[in-house]
Amino acid sequence: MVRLFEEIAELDRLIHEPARLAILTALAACESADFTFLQRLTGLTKGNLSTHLSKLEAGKMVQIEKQFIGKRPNTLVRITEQGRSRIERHWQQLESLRKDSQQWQPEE
Amino acid sequence: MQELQRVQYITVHFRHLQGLRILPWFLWMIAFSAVNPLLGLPQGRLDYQLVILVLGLPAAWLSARWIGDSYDRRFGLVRGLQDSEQRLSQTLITTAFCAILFIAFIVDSMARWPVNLAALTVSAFYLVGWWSTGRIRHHYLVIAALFVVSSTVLPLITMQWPLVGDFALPIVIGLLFTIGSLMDHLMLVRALKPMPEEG
Repeated sequence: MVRLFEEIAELDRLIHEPARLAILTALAACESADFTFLQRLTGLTKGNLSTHLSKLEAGKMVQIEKQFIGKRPNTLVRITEQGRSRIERHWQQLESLRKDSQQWQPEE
Repeated sequence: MQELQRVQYITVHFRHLQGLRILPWFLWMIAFSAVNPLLGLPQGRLDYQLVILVLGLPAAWLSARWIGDSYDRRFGLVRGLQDSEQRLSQTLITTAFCAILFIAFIVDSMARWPVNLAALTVSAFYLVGWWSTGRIRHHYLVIAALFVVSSTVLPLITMQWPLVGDFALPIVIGLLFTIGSLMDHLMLVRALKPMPEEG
């Protein structure tokens, strides 16, 4: 049981926050997505989503690019290679946690 | 976990779920096929069909373009992960389907089978579509079943009323494709969250 909690403590806290986990899950499933799509997908407010993206950018998990489509400003977000491997590792950790929690044996 | 599955599914299939993009083309197809029987005109009478062809094609193209822009503004943009190999295999599959459908149309027009091969081909297309998109779009199964039913009903209609039978298949295909694309759009809208009110 102690080992289980140690595994939980090792989880990447930058990724594990529910909104950021959802954002990274979406970005890992595509080449890039824009701000509007991420907002519609997660239901976050503009401010909230911006804050999460800034944290992910500071952690080098995503790249943010501001561009114009016609006359409309557009913010494009893509996951970095580091971000991709970290989210992959995070999923593996969650999977391992799930298996370990099912195999728990009481300590003698 | 289900929430994350939703996130992943919608992102991967985002473009394909924008069913309204292709709707103007299906409506054009129905109008083109239905204009003569609706006006009680014989097959081979091309003047009204020509009007729909000449005016309808640019109207369909402009409508599809406007709908696409609306999707981009309202739901955002996603660029898929598909590499060139996957794009090539998708193109080959689509081309193969169109070729098989074309052959089925020719066979149906030459021989009066008890089943309509073109409708069966489209049914198979929807079954493959249901399977390849994660076996979640159950409306594809319903549409596939309706095409199977059509494949047996259409030859009976053609036997009784040959002129109607010739128009019926494109109208049926257009109608069922329209329903499929509307259901895709509905699935997308239900899966996405509303724009939150900014405080």
